[in-house]
Amino acid sequence: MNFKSIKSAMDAEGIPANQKDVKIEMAKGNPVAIIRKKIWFELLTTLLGAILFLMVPFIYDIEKRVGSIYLIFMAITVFMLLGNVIKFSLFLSQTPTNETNTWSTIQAFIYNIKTTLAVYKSYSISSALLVPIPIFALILGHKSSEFYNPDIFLKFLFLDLNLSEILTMLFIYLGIALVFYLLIVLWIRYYYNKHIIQLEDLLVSMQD
Amino acid sequence: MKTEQAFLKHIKAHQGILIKVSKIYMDNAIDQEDLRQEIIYQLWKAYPKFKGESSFTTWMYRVAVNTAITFFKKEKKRHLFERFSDKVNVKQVEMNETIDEQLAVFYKAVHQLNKIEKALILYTIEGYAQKEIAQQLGLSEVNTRVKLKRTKDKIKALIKKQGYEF
Repeated sequence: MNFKSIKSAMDAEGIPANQKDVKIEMAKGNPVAIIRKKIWFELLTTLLGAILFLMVPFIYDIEKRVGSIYLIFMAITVFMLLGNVIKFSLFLSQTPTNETNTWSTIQAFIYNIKTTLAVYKSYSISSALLVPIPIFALILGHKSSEFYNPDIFLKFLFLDLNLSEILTMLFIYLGIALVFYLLIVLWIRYYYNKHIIQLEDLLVSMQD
Repeated sequence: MKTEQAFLKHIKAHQGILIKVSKIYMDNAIDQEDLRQEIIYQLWKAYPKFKGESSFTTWMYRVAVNTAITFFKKEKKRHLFERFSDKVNVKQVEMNETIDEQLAVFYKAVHQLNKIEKALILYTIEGYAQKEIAQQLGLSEVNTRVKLKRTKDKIKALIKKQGYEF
């Protein structure tokens, strides 16, 4: 047996009946396809969520000043999410197709997904720091809520507090932001990292 | 539409490449068909950028191998179809033995190689020179030479293990 005889045997092999049909259709197993599909799903979920959150003051009876502050902070968050959407869209359109050499294809894909995820993380940190304000606005500004107290909310917002209250508030605020951030990091690790690790291992095996 | 027709015509004329790559990279009929489909899709996406600087065959091999290398199956699916796939695989090997025992032995050996080694063997079989293989994979010539030597030794050993001379 040698490579020449193997090539002859391979060339002589016919095309299986179930593979004669040629149609342009994406298979489901490719990690690139999986990641793209997940990103599209995430984009749609994010946009839907943003629209729903912006509608809240118009659906629930919220104290006017608190409602305005809620809208301002949610609008900023939505603008940041839109920035994220743009970055993701760029990633989707710029991800290299496989026509370059193997090394470059894998490297470019890893680079693209990593930079996209880095931007995603930084947007997430910023959003996480903003989100607690609208949350408190909803809790303390909703007229039917048992916690309804817009004055306390405004007092907190304008830091009309003594030092120990400010420190307590800062601690709680950062705690909530940290929980949001950690949830996002865990989400990224669970959904994207395993595919990136597989591709990185391939690059390492090419260098050995 | 004309472009799509031209593309499909090109692909049909080179279907052998799709079969070879999918058979070398996947060990059962279901995965082979999935990979073949993904390669066609990736070729279609890359097609507008094909300027004819290399031959269509060389370009098609590059896209096909890159797709095969970055193609992973979902774990769940593998577990779900594991038993079924194994049965398909046994049947396929039996069929190959009657048609060409040599080829069956070769596929069995090649499935034990890693993805880069499979690419090296595929390009070697297709008669690519070391320099061309290095260009296709994006490796240095020295690295390619070393890897090629190791891979050839490995496949020889795997074939000999099955009681065949190489």
